[in-house]
Amino acid sequence: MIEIKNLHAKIGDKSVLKGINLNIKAGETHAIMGPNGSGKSSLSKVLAGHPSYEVTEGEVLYDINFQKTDLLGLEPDVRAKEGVFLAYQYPIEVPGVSNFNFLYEAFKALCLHHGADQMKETDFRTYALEKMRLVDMKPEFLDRSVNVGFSGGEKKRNEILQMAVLSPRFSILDETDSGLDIDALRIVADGVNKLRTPNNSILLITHYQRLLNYIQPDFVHVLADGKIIETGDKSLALKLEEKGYDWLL
Amino acid sequence: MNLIKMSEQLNQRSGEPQTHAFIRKLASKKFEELNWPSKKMELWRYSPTHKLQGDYLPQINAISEDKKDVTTNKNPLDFNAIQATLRASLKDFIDPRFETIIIHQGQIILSEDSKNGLISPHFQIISLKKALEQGLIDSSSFKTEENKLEALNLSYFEDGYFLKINEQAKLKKPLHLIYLHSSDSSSNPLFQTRFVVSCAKGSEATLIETHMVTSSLESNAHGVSGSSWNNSTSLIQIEDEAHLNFIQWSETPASHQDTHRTHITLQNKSKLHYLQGIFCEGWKRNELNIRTEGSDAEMIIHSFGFSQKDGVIDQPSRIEFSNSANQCQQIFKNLLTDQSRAIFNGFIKIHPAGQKTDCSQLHQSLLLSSTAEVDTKPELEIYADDVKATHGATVGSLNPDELFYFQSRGISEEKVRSMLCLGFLMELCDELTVKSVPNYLKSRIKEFWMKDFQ
Ligand SMILES: Nc1ncnc2c1ncn2[C@@H]1O[C@H](COP(=O)(O)OP(=O)(O)OP(=O)(O)O)[C@@H](O)[C@H]1O
Ligand SMILES: [Mg+2]
Repeated sequence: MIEIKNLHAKIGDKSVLKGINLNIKAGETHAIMGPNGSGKSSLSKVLAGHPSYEVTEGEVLYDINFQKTDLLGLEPDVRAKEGVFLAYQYPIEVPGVSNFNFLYEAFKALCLHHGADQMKETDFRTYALEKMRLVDMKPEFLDRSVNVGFSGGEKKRNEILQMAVLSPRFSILDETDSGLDIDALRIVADGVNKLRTPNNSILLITHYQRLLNYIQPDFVHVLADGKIIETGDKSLALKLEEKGYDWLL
Repeated sequence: MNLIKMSEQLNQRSGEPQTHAFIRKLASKKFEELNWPSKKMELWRYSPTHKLQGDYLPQINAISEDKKDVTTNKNPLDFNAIQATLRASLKDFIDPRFETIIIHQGQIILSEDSKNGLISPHFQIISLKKALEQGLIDSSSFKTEENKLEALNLSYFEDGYFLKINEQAKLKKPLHLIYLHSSDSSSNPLFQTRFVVSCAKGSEATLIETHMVTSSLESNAHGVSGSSWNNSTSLIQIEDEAHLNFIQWSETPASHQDTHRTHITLQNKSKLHYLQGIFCEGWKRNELNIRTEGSDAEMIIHSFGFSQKDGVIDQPSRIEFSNSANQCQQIFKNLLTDQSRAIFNGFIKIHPAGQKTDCSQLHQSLLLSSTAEVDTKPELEIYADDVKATHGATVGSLNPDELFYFQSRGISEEKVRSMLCLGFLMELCDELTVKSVPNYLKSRIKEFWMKDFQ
């Protein structure tokens, strides 16, 4: 699905990614753990195409129609329409734009890109409400401004709602579990699990082993100072929970 | 011939009652005394004052017989026919959830030329002249202030309306007043109208005013040719415990100008939620003048504007707190592109009696081009010690994080820009608690945006 090769990136003058190598196949779920400031969010934003980051070395190959495509050469909106999705660690509030409008515009853009028929506004509302049930969000959130006044957990659910509406092929969930209460964690994890198929891949960024009980990863990686320093299966997460990162650094 | 003589003649000719004559006489005297606004005056420093006299001076100096014929209505108009035509041409603006009343060239267009205007158990709306004749309002609604344009309006006001919301009346349906001027490309008409609104004790109402210019009766407001000057005044009085939601919406096409004054007084425990929406390619000036006449009043003063081409949004605001424990939140937001401009002067005065006043003022501008310009100036005069007063101004462009967030969901950059701009304009609409109104306003904003910007 996606091959990250020797990826280096900086923001301003600061190098944040220092040679990342990662290969995620279709159907796989990978988890990334690592100390604060190690570059996890930076990696996810570079993959989504955030303009503040400059890629200085390396490449990212992403499967589009069975062809390996240079992901970094695509505009952020094109990446999204080709199925790349990033659930943000800190979702942004956008006053004045309703959640419905946001979702509908994103969905319309997706349909247009893939030459699918457009869905009528009323039908889309029904579709969106169905997805909201999946993450246990109340219908009134559809007509509120995007994330404005949402609680931390509500913002995270809203990210998963967007994921559910857009059904991406490659999703990066950046600390979707932090800020969620115990019930919400289960609900969101169930939601994510429902979206898992043999054709989709997921990259989970988390600090807590707990999430991995709900969403079972095939691989766990440790990112430190912009590099992946350890890879293992889910038992690695348990070991990290117990011992911390010191033994690796 | 001098103006005073002329206005006397006008009065004789149109057979106006003595009160009118008196008002006009006083006002024209004032008009003669005062100087035309110029860049030397603080509140006009950045305004395109040169536009005030130019094409219009000859008219002011020689208001002709023809013009007066229109406004004094010697030949009774076929109100039913006009009403039908107007309603058809304004169908996009007419929302069944509102009680809509059309005011064309300063005259209220009701189904027939009803002597008492429109009366319901909760309110009455009537032509200003008739209200004066019938003694519904006194001449205090026609005070001449030290303001040349106000004096001009009072000297020559054609008509307008008087709206009274009755004591304790709770209006279920918002009242929508569509205020329309037709101007063809051959003339440069100058319109002078006045609106007086009185919200009696304990009343609750939502009033929407839409101000626009059309090329002709039949055409739509967009793409108007020619030029015109609308010089009007709104006077609003909110009595004890009354609650008014007041929405002023205006569309000012290129080379048209609108100098408006909105005077509002608030009494004890009254509430005002004021929302102004401006779409402007010409010059739109609104002098907002608010005064408390009692304590514990709450005000929300919101304004959003979009200006493009050579448009100028000109907003001098003056709020005086003369009593204790009043609250006021002011937010002005403008979206500017091309070489358009926003001018803001936010004057706040808290008198010694204004203890426990709590007020804030924010002026936000979003600039979409490097040639757009903002001139903003807060002015606070505080003579009481136990008060809260804050002010701030921001000038910026679209937030790159918001841009990226939306783009990373598959929406093209261009579309995102448009969505965010619309969001910037629509944000304040959500603060209105009368449910039908935000939806109506948003659809108007959207329509305007799609038609004229994209
Ligand atoms: N705009 C910026 N300017 C300078 N440094 C930045 C900027 N944004 C991020 N950084 C730095 O880049 C490094 C990596 O940040 P990043 O957000 O990727 O960490 P993270 O692994 O996601 O951490 P956390 O676990 O706390 O979320 C940090 O040291 C951070 O301070
Ligand atoms: Mg992070």
